[in-house]
Amino acid sequence: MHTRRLFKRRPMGPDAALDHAIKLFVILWILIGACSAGASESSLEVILTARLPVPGWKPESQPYHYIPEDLYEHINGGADFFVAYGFVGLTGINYSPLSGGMDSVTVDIYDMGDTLNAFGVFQPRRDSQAPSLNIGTGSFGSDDYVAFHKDRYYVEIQAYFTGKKEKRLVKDMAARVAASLPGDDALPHELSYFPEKSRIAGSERYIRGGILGHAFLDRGMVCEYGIDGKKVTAFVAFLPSEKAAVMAVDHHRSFLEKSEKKSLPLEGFGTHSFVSEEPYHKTIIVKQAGAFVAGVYDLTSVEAGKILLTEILRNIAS
Amino acid sequence: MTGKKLTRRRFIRNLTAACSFSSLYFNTLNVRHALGKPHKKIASKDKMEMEYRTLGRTGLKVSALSFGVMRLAEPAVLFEALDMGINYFDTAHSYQRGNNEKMLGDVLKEYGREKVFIATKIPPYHKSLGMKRLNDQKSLEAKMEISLKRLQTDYVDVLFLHNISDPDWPVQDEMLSFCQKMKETGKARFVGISFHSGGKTYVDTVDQALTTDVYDVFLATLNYKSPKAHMDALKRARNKNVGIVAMKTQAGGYEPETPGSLSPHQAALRWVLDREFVDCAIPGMVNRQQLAENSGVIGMKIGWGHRKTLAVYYDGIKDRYCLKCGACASSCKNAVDIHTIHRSLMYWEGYQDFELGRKTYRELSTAENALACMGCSNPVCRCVNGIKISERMRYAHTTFI
Repeated sequence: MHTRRLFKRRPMGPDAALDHAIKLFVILWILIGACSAGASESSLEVILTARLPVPGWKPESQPYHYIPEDLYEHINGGADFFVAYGFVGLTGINYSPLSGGMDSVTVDIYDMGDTLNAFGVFQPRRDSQAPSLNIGTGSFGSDDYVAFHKDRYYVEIQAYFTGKKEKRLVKDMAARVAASLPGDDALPHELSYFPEKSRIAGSERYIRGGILGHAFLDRGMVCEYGIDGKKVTAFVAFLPSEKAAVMAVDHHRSFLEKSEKKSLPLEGFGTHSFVSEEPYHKTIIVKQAGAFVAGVYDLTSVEAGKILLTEILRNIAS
Repeated sequence: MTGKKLTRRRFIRNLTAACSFSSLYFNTLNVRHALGKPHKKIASKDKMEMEYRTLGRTGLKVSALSFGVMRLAEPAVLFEALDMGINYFDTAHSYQRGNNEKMLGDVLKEYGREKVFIATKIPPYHKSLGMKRLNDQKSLEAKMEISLKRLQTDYVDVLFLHNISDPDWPVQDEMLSFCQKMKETGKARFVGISFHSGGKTYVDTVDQALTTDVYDVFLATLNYKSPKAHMDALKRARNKNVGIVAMKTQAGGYEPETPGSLSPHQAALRWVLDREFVDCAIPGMVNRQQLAENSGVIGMKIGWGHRKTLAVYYDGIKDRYCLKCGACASSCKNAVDIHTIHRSLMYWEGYQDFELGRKTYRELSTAENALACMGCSNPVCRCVNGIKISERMRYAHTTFI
């Protein structure tokens, strides 16, 4: 109805023409937006129903969907973990063999909203014993289970074999899903704050809920490093503003004082920095930089920590 | 109307403001908290005296405030909890694909395994095909071995069959045999079931499990929104000396967005701990502040101010958020699928996903959707929790069609 009114024939001056052009542009913009938003879910369905089935396997039914409110119906208590990391929606499907039988494969694609969240749910679930696979941005798995992340998606593929395992099946499926998912294979750019030298591979974590268990350092990245044969942990907390970052440092210091830990200014690092002992950990050094709070803990040598912290601060600044 | 629609975000914001106001007005302790000044009980962990209760027939003396480890990433929070006197820790085979059990195992190895109680859960079903396929005893035992290895211990204090969603599962021979074997071999001192299904399934699960003497502990959803039938079921279990561990105590999903509105969580937890049939609660905690918040309720009695806070909190959600009790299912003379229609509204109102709401609604046949409600002049549908069903059904129909 609105469209008909919009295009009703009438004499048109330059202003009216411009007005119509703007309206057309707005409508097109909305349509493009609507199409691209709708394409997301349907494209996932297309991956699962048209592109994914491998020879000898068929979808058992239409894809299913879950949102934060009902994810627990699918994965029980594990849902809270995903929801805490910004879970947007899940599209999944079950496959069974064309030849019949009890075998099955389940593919679950979690839309986590962005690359960082997808990385965030992948890393803590990573099995340090399982070999890394060359699928998506990061992956691990076995003959009957593969997990990987790519862009804003975290994907789990799980098989149930009653007899002989089809060794390549799950990995082949994972590779097909990864190739079909939109987006790129880049790691979250927040990881670039951490120097690669001496970093312990696989130790990187995106934390939601509190670095070191502190709610005032709610969100951020942590990585472990091997320095002089000792394991230390570096972190960068993401705060909403510079003021909030300064407050977080103050809050941290006052927490340490309440815990009867003395904190001193971190020599050479200016204001809003300190060195102290973190309860249940070892020495910690902390420095605010813009809307970030960076630090290194479990240190036996403050000087070694300072070198690492300096590099992190340099990366943040760049 | 759409413009003034109560979106989830706006709803929570309003609710948070209401709760904050209520707290500020009714409870000076909460005022201190709202202003960022810690409650005396919260700040003084050294002075706090943990409350211990006997976990039913197990005889275990567990801390009333116990720890749901599920989402925790920082071991220091566990050490702090141990120092506060928390001695019962709940994890599961599936949490963080086993890394959660590993973290708990690492901490307890350092702290002293014998000083604490570990509860873990093994899924009785295979995830594929919507949990319809039960694992056999051999694979359950294999999972248990993996869990023990991760936990770095020879035994767990309580082993739960995880997420019982079919009342027949607990009495299935293979489940019973597995549980008995775990007890006999000493790999589990006690066994139980965990469940959070809605409606009648919850009650049936309790009653079925009570037909055997195998299960010593129930881990169940319980919060101030729980239907009376669920509480009565747990009371029946407690009368048979089954230990009751409460989960989802804060009616998850409606977390306040500002630190000033913490009091509904505390009041909700205290409400659960005040139920005489509850032995302990396992709120999930991820940082020290949540630990302090929850430990702040130990030793407190729920007072008028707290009840008022809960009432305000609940009032804000009860007229629209279906508690999935299932009691309404048979009350409609036209067989309208009330549950699915509520869900479609929730997709839109709760998560602002209009398309998903409409799609869900439109998948219903004309016999199932709310078309019949449009001309229904004498609705007999009834919600025991106060939702005006016929209004909501008509609203859904006009919105999505």
